Amino acid sequence: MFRLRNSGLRAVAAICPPRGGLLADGFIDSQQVICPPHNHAFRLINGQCTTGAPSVRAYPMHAEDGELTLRLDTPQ
Amino acid sequence: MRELVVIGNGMVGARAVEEILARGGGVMFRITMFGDEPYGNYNRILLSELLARGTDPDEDPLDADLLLNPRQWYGDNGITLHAGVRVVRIDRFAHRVYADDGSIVRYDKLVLATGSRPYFPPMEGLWADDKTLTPGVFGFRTLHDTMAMMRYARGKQRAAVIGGGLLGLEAARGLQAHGLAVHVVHAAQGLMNQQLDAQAGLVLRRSLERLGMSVHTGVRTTGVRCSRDGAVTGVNFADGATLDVDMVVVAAGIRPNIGLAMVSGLETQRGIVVDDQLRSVDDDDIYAVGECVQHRGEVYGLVGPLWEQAAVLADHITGTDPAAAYHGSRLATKLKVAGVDVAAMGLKEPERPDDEFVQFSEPCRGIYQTVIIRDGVLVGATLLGDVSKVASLTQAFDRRVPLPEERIRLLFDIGVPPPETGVAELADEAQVCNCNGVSKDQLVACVRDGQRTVEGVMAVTRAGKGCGSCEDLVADIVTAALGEVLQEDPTANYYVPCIPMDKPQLIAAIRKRGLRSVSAVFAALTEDGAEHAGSKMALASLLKVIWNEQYIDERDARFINDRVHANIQRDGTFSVVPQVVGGVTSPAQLRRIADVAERYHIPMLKITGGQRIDLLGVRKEDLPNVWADLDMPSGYAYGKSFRTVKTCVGSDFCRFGLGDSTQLGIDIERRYQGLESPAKMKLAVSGCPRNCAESYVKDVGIVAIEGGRWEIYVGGAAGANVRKGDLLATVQQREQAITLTGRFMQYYRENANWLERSYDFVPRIGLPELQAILVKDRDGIAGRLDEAMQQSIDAYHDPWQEHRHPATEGQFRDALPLVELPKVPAR
Repeated sequence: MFRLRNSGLRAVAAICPPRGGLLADGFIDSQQVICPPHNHAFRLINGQCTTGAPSVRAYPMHAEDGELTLRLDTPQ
Repeated sequence: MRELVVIGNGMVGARAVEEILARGGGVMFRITMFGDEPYGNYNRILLSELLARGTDPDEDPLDADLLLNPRQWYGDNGITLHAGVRVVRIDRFAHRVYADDGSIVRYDKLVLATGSRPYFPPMEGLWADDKTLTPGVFGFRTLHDTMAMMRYARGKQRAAVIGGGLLGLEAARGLQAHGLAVHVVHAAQGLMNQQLDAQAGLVLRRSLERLGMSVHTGVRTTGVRCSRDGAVTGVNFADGATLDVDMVVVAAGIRPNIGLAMVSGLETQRGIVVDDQLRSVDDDDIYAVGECVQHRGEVYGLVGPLWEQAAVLADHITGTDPAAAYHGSRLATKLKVAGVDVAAMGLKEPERPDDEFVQFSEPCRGIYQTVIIRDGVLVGATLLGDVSKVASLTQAFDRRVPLPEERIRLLFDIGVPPPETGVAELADEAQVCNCNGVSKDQLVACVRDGQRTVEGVMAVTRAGKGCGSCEDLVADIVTAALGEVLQEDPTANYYVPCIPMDKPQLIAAIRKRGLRSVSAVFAALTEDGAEHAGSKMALASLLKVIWNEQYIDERDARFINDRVHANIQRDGTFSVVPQVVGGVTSPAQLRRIADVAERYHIPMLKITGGQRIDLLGVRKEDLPNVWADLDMPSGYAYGKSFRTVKTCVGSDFCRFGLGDSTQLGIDIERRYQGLESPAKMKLAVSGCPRNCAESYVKDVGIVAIEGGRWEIYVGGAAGANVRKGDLLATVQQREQAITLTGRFMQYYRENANWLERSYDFVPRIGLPELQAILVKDRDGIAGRLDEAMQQSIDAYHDPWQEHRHPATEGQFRDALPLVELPKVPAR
């Protein structure tokens, strides 16, 4: 789960599909996360890879009254 | 909108307008163009090819190959084109131009791109009247000339070409293709004497004679003979000899068209005199560009320099870069002259007594090659018949890279394997990028899918994004696949892709606006104020170099390694490398490392190439405790930073040691530990030239030599690339070695591109330049560099002290708490 600088929330699967990198340790900006070992980039909003690798799963997420809600059952 | 008038619709006039449009000039200016010739803009360079092709002269020759800008282009871009109309006068005070069709156009800015015209030397019988050449006599400049020549050549037997320069030889070759016997008549002794020395001229002459041309050199043409009906029948020479021919082409040079500028009161000498912004020295509203221009005494006729001029003009006139300046061009050209390959750059002959001159001549095969070297720099080269070395020579000429000590290696591969397989021969499935497993056909497919730049293909396929050693090959394959449609990525020169500035511009902007954090840089300098993940690490490093302790650290701008001060491994664990200065350790240190390894079940302990001990497979949450128990400073084996100084045993124990390399290495590592830099810096100090610490292949390598002196090498590498470092200086005192090491590293920190290792940086800047700046202090910045380095040293804190006070909550929390780590079993 990522907290953006504009305080938005995003969630994607933890592991980068091509090489098993840990996305939580990656660089983020408002659009994407970059996986540390091999620099594959994924869109935070839908998990789509912009550097030619398979996508990761992304999950809708929001905050309400101090509670974070994440939906795991969303169809892709 | 302001009015922009361009006089001249040739290649450079139209190119200048294209450059202006590319900089948003279409919104700033209403553009009017005047051109002598009644077409859009065509590629004059291809006229010789058109002539040689032997096209049917009654067909429309303006096909897509020849035409650069069709009429429609002008309409599409809102340009008013007056084709076939000549401007006769400029009223600079009323800001108006007057044309020969009676039209008057007002301008705010005026561009003169009037080009040049053929020069006709005085010859009896050359002219039929004041304006018309004798029938059968031609210049060779325009499409009209070319078509007329081809029409006239039908059924003719013999032609004389007056002038044995580039254009004359092209004309001669072209006329041969139409079945004529061609005589080249050249007033000077050597063919192409503008570009070639006498020897080269002779070799070229033999090659042309083998192609069936008759060549007369050292012969001045004094007259043209005509029949009674006025058509050419022959030429007369100064020595009384004559030659019977059916047609004559005069290609005896060109003269800039400066008449209009002259009558309009602008300073003209050989050309229209302009300043570094391509403005007439008399009038800030009038620019001039192309062959009609004289800049710092030089008039250029080759297309490369003229393109450079057009770009500077566009930068300045649109205000895109008010500081844009043209400083003149170094001439390097590669041509096919009448079917013979010719490349020439810089000087054609040595000029000073101590110029080095390497010459190779093999006239039977039509091969002649020379290089001229002055003060270790390539200042001239000529290649005739075999131009296989033109790429590396051009690079040496343009970038002043260091030259091989055996100069002959500039021209020949001696004792090395044959050149690598060409791109075309490479099998489709061959793996090109061995780091990311990308094959040739994947690169080609990526181009087919629409990528148009080398950078774009690399970003999508990841090719060349590993160790980087295949970058050149990737670029070659992509370039070949793209063919004509290759586009240059403008971001290639940017320090980071999201800010359109190179490194010096970016540093100036950051200082001027006092931007002390990465988020502040994004907000102030990117187009949309948005942050950009891929640029954060490069900016964080640069800001630290600029501001030192005033830098405002933001943890999200750090790469994971810099957030937790350890090197992330493939299974998500980390490696910990404590500092072992100079590679010298102690029983107490070893005992502590051993204890920690047992306590935290470290799967692998490894001696590194940098003479340290690596603890591999450490879990993230164990990092603070591991550091606390080790109680050793960070060895910085994870950052884009100063890493380590490898040393040999020096003079205390070694029988051969000439200097105390061990202590010098320790002192250097203590002083410069952990400093951020554009890429990692690995150093070494060896106690003698046996070089046991591998100093010759380090970013900075120091070697003790007899007499208590120290040699300092820079730019060495023994990784994905292997390169011996260049000898920057030899110093008497160890303190000088320490200072100069720091000065070089500071200059590198300030000037190298992101991830540019010293083995690329040093050849890019050039060793003589580095010596001038760092050793001789030519620019007077040595003191400032030393001071800036001292500030960085003073701002250093050991990051492993964060085990006491984590910088953020969860700094060392595992990202995958449910997965058992480490994945790698203990050996």
